[in-house]
Amino acid sequence: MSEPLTIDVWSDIACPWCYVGKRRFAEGVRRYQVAGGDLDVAIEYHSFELAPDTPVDFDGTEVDFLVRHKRMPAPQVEQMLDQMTQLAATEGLEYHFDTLQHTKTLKAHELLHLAKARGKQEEMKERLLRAYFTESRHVGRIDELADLAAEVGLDRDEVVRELEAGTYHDAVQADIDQAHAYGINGVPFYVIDGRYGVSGAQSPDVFAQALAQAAADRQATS
Amino acid sequence: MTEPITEPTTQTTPTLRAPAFQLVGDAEAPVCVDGVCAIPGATDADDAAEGGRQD
Repeated sequence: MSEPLTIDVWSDIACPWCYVGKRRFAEGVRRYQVAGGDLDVAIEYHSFELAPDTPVDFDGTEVDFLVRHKRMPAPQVEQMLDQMTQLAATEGLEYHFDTLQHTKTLKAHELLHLAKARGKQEEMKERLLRAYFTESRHVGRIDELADLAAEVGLDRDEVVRELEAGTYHDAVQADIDQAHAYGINGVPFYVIDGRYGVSGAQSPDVFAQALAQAAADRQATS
Repeated sequence: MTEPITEPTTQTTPTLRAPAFQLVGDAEAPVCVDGVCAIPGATDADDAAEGGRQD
């Protein structure tokens, strides 16, 4: 049986386009397969902190963050977030920027590495994105992350222990360093089978075509 | 005789890979950069963020 196409995804939790991109990529995979693509895909998520200077307990809303830290005018931010909310809805996603708890995502990334080691990364990624954008959960605190991890079948006590110890901190940093080595300065970013780089929440057809091309390359070199 | 103590060797230094992929797709596809997630063709958040950080 052929090896699956490898998909390396750099993304953050606090990244509206990453959640949208996740849905569009999944649809791209579906279209690739409907069109006859017969290779499976193996997705691995890599860490990228969009705002590493964000405090864990940021006091304010998403609007406050962008106004204070990015010096954007409040009306422009509100308009941008309204548009993003509407756009996400067209992808079947529910965003609540008014109640979202903006936070540092370092520990969430450490958790994703732990989840990868336990074969639960996909479930954990999906759970964290929904917790952040839809449920306004605090994904910067270890106790909250441990609760979410337990929901996808991870050992809550182990999660607390490993996150408090910072066991996966170096793995997170290695991902970020790799992103910089690749020249990635925005997310989501996809590397398909090590051959094709795809930046942003592209249309499903773009992803489907890139997958098909990568699969064809495999056949041509086998 | 006492056995010599050896350090655990589970930690390895990752080797950074240089870009070896070809960029494909729409160059204007939306991304989040430096905490700002602009919507192409709508609000130009990058222009608004040009002033940099206050913190």
